[in-house]
Amino acid sequence: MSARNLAIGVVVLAVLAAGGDFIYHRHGHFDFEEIPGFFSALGLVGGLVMVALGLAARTLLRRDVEDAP
Amino acid sequence: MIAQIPPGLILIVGALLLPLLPAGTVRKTASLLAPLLGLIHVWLIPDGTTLSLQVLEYELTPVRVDDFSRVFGIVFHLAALLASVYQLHLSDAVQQAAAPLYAGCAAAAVFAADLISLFVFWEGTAIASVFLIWAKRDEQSYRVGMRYLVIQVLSGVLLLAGSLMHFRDGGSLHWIIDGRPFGGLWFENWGDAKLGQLLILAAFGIKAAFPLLHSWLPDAYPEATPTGTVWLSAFTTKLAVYALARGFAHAEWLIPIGVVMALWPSILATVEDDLRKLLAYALNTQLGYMVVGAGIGTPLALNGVGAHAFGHILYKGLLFMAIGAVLYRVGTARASELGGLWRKMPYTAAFCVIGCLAVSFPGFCGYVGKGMIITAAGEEHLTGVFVLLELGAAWVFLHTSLRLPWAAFFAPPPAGSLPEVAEAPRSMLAAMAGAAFCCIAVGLFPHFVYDLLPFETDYHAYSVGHVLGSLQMLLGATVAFVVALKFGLLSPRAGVLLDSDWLYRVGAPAVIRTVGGAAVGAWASMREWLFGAAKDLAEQVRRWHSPGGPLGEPWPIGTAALAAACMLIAFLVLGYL
Repeated sequence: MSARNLAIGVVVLAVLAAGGDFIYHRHGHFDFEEIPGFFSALGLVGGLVMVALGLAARTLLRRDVEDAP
Repeated sequence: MIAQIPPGLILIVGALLLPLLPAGTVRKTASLLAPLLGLIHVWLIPDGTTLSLQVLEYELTPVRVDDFSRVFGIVFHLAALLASVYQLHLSDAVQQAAAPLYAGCAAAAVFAADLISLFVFWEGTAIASVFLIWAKRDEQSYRVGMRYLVIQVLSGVLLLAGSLMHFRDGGSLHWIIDGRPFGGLWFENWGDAKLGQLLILAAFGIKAAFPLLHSWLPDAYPEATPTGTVWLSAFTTKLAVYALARGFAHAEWLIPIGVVMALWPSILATVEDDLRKLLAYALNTQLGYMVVGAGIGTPLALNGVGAHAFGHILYKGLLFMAIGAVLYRVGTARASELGGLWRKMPYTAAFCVIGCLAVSFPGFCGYVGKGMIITAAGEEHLTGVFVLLELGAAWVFLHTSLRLPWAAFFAPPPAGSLPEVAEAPRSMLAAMAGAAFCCIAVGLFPHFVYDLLPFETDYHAYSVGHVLGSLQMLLGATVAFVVALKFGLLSPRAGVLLDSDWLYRVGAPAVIRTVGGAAVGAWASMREWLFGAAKDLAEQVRRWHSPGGPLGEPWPIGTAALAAACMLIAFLVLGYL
């Protein structure tokens, strides 16, 4: 399986999982848990935010090995 | 008979005897027997067993058995058994002895019902564990080991000082008693806290890797031997989490501390090049969940602390084993120097993937413990905490479950060709297989662990809502990972990331040098001015009073009498004014 097909498969699975909210009505502790796709969006957007924060941290904090304290 | 043997003692005695046994099969067999017998002992020792001893006029209780202690005792012995299998290929007596001694002290500490006994075993873990870093036997590990030792011993000193102050202020040395098994050191507001409680909290906070106190963890763990890090990952921090949950359960101020722990290290883990350091940061995030659980303090949350510690020790040990095997064979654990290893080390790669899934995927051990703590936050209507812990679960899945195996095993190798390396030794593979089995078994049959927990709760890990929500979030994070890969955002870059240890390793010395230099300069200037002023004064005195000077001439008696009369008149005038 090529990397491209694997990536497409992951996206399809994520969409199918998000669509599960239209079949199963979740009774969570909070109202926002009942928004369809809430957890999918949290994972996707949260993941991208973390990557952005990580890159910013690397820009600020990275040093070459020989310059390490 | 079983009740007369203190938990942890079998490991400690075994550790002390191991170096005396002939190297080879006998010693290796004994290294497995000690944790195995210890595990059986902890499993069978009756609930409610206490052992006390009299020291001077004080009664100490080094052993008090209840469910919460037992769950930690069991997983500590299980981890020691797996780690002993992992290091069977070793013939280094230092590591063979130090590792079970460390585990034995940790196991004994979770049964200590008084603060003095806790201190003794607390320091035992510090001293025994540093040898797992020094066992690398190079300059770098020596320096890191010294830093680690100073911080760990400082934690013990704070614990002792705090315990004595707590006792002086009317508190009891027995921090765990029947009728109050949790919260023996609890205070509601910082203003209400006494110094002894704060010192004990600082001691626990150092070992639990609180924010800004955490840097010893990513500093030291990647510098231990490949086998040593597996041991280190299991005991020190989980002992601290146990102590926090025991002593400060339901202290709400722990919740924000735990949330910061659950999130901040993930940011560094995302771009960390050293994969063992990545795992150390990931470990720090999961400690955050446990600290939040301790802070929430409800029965479900405290059960979650025990269950998550149990699962976390298993899967984190497995991940450190897999990356340790890579380090052992390839000689590096840096993402920028690895890739494509699944072709050379397929079994290690498979076990690593199981460990990665065990972080939070349904069906594995991480899912069944962490979910309890998040649900406890939901039940207490802690909206922000709930969302941030869910977010943290997505983050740790991205950097540990996806980035780590990709970087080590599935990314294109940096040089374009794979290094000629063999699969991990059989002992390492056997340990990884055992840990992987435990991760799956606990995940599929969580009641195996739930039945060990201290409280009866009605928690269902595999409700449709839980499973669906987890799958949605983890798959969402996976899509984010795919996008980041597509745009090359996660390509490894060689180097090191500065952490808060920079403050005391570089920042503080620089400030001391600057302030000290300024003080030395100011003192030199002042001294020069003082000497100059004294010299000028001496010169003036010499000029005025030397022979030939205005005051050096002998005065006639009449002139002197006139001067004295003028002075007396001046005094009289001043006296009448």
